[in-house]
Amino acid sequence: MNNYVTILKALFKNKLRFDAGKSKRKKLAFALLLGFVYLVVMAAAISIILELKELFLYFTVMAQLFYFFVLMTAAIVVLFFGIVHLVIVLYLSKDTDFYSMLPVKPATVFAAKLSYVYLSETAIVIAVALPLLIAFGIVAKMWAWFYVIAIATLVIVPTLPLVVAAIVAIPVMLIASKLKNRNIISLVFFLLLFGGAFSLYIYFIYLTSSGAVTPESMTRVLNGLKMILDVLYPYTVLSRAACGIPMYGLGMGASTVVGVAIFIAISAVLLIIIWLLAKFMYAQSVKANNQTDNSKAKKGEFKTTTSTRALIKREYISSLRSTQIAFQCYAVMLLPILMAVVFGLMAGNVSDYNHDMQLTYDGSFIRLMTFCMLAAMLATLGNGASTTFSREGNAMASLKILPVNIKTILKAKIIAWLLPAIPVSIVTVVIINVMNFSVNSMLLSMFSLVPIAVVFVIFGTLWDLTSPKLKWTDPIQAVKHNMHVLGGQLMMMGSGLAIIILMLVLSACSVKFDVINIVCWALLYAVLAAFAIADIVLYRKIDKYYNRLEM
Amino acid sequence: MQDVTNTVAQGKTVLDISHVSMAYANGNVKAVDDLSFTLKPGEIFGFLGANGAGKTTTIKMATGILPVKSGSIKICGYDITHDSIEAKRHFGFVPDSPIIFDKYTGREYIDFLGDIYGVNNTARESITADLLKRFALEDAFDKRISGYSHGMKQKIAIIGSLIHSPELWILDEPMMGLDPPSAFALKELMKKYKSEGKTVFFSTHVLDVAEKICDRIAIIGKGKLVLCGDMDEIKRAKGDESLEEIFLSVAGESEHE
Repeated sequence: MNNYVTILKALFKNKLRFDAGKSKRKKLAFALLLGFVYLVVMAAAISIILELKELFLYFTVMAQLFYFFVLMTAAIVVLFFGIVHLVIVLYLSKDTDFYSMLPVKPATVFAAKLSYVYLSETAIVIAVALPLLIAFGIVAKMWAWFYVIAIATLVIVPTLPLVVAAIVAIPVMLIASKLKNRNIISLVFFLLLFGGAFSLYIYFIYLTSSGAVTPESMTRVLNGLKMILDVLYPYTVLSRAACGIPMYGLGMGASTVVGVAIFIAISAVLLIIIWLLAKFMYAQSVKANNQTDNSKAKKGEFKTTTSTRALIKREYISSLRSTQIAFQCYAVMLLPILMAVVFGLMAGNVSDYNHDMQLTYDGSFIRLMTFCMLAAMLATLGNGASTTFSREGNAMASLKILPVNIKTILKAKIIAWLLPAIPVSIVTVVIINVMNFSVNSMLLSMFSLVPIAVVFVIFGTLWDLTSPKLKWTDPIQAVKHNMHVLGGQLMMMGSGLAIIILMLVLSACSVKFDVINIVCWALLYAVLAAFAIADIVLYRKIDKYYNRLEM
Repeated sequence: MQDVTNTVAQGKTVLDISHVSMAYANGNVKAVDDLSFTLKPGEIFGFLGANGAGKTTTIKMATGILPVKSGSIKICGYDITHDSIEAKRHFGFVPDSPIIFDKYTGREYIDFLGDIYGVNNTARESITADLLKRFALEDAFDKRISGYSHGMKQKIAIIGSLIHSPELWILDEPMMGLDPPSAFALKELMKKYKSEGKTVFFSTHVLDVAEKICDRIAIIGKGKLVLCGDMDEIKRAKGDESLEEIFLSVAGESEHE
């Protein structure tokens, strides 16, 4: 037990104490910024709860559905982070050798690692769901048992997504262990997973909300909802129990007891499945780690190119040949495209509904909002660029001895990250405009969002050069714990969200749409200008930043 | 400093370290303190010192990894601070822990360096063919460096450092992690390099190696040069003691200063 606790503590310390080299002021500023953004997001979510107050008060089923969707949202977040977490901690872990030589049973190491993953995911669930559930309980005037059940069961909620994560990680692991190029296989899998999940989401939006409101469309909506509720039965039964909705012909009290008992029982079974699956995965990974690669490599040939191209190629090799890095840098780049499809469908549907339901915001307003949301989503294009120097780690010394100046290195790195970022931003803009076409919007968005993507990628590269995170033991730390990634995303997403909030405020103040339209586009161009100015300012000092890097 | 050198290189110097200092912890800890010496063409120069004496810091400054804040370092006449690109073209460097780009295969790594230094394919082929054979690395050359042992990484770093046939070959603790045949091969390579009129500058803890192959040595302690000169002259001046005894006496003196 002692060893279990010691290893678990070590895993958490290793994760949480990574930023030890940073000054306290910087740490505090970053924590405050993160806290502020969290509060803003929560405030926005809670304002939606307040908006829906009447709905919750008069329709118990809507209250149940809302609770269900909060659980589902938390589960989706856990699913995506959980897969990465399980694979990194249990399968692609770099510390297998270290733990193997300790006088600790492998089962204890495994238990500590699985607990670490579970507790981390539980923390995510609590951060996402707890404030919303409390706010929802107060607004919807839920009974006292709601708080007890909803809060107590949060620690069990990660079981369902984690079991899915454990299952889907197995084929990847088995296929990857038999193939030479494991990293590419894993990357393809992650892309398929993300693509599949978003396709399902888009299909659901299409299924539930396409066309005008008719009895047929309402039936489609209800069928879609029923399908989700059936698939995620543990959350359905929990949400019914917590909201005091009778089921199985029982009274309210008995239904609640039975519902909670069913949820706990299913979760217990899922927990056992996770344990067994993860144990199998871990055993395989330890086995794979102990095997020596004696295979004969295919003989290659020397290929000559220019120094800039060699540096670009190097950037791709170093980022693509590591699953975790590739996932963090490239896979997330697909998000703006996927979100463009989702936003495009939603904007189109809102326009359609508007004819029948006289909604507050018309189609033009929603479309304008989608451009701001997409501007915010462009933040995902910067992960690779804003960690490009940090990922060098100790290899920065190898780079510094080369007879190339920082301008050439910078040029190569910027080109390497603009090459995927520009097409992604163009495709994103084309998709959103094709789905809801307007010449003005097409031109305005093409000449704002694409350049924003460009200046943002350049900004990320330059910002990382100012103070790269070179001290790490695993390259993924250079990405996951990098202030330049989070900071850049917060700036970009914050800018997009701030413009949306301003649009809503202006609309609430009965300002004409034409004015809002001008203000919104002006602000998007202001964001572009701000990043461009920051790029120029930083570029002027690149020699200073490069020379002061010490290994 | 005890200077027992009769002849300091006249004319062309390959490496000229002049009054170089480097301090850490806001100037409180002097890693290198007013260090000066020169290397001439066609010699093997051993750089000795106890742990923390300032060897690696000096080498890092000479290779441009650390900035030279005080004094100057010139490589083949090019200042590493003001003319760093030209200076870097003239040396090859093997670091103490070969942290190279481990996502590459050995060949890709050499290809990358070849592109950076502008080495054509024919030269790449001929230089690597000889070196791969010397270090018995042919089978692993097209495999990922991440799967190499420490010694193999050291060997590929050595090959990479020579791909552009530099005038000055700098090695930081090069014997670490090498098996006996590879260590022998490296020593032979150093001698061959010297015979071609090029210069080898390496730091080491292995005094036997330094004694056998170095033409000149420098010993530093607490960042200061405590002894520098021709191997035979030093021995004569110190009463024909072994290098180990000389090292222990001068290193001990510097510790007690």
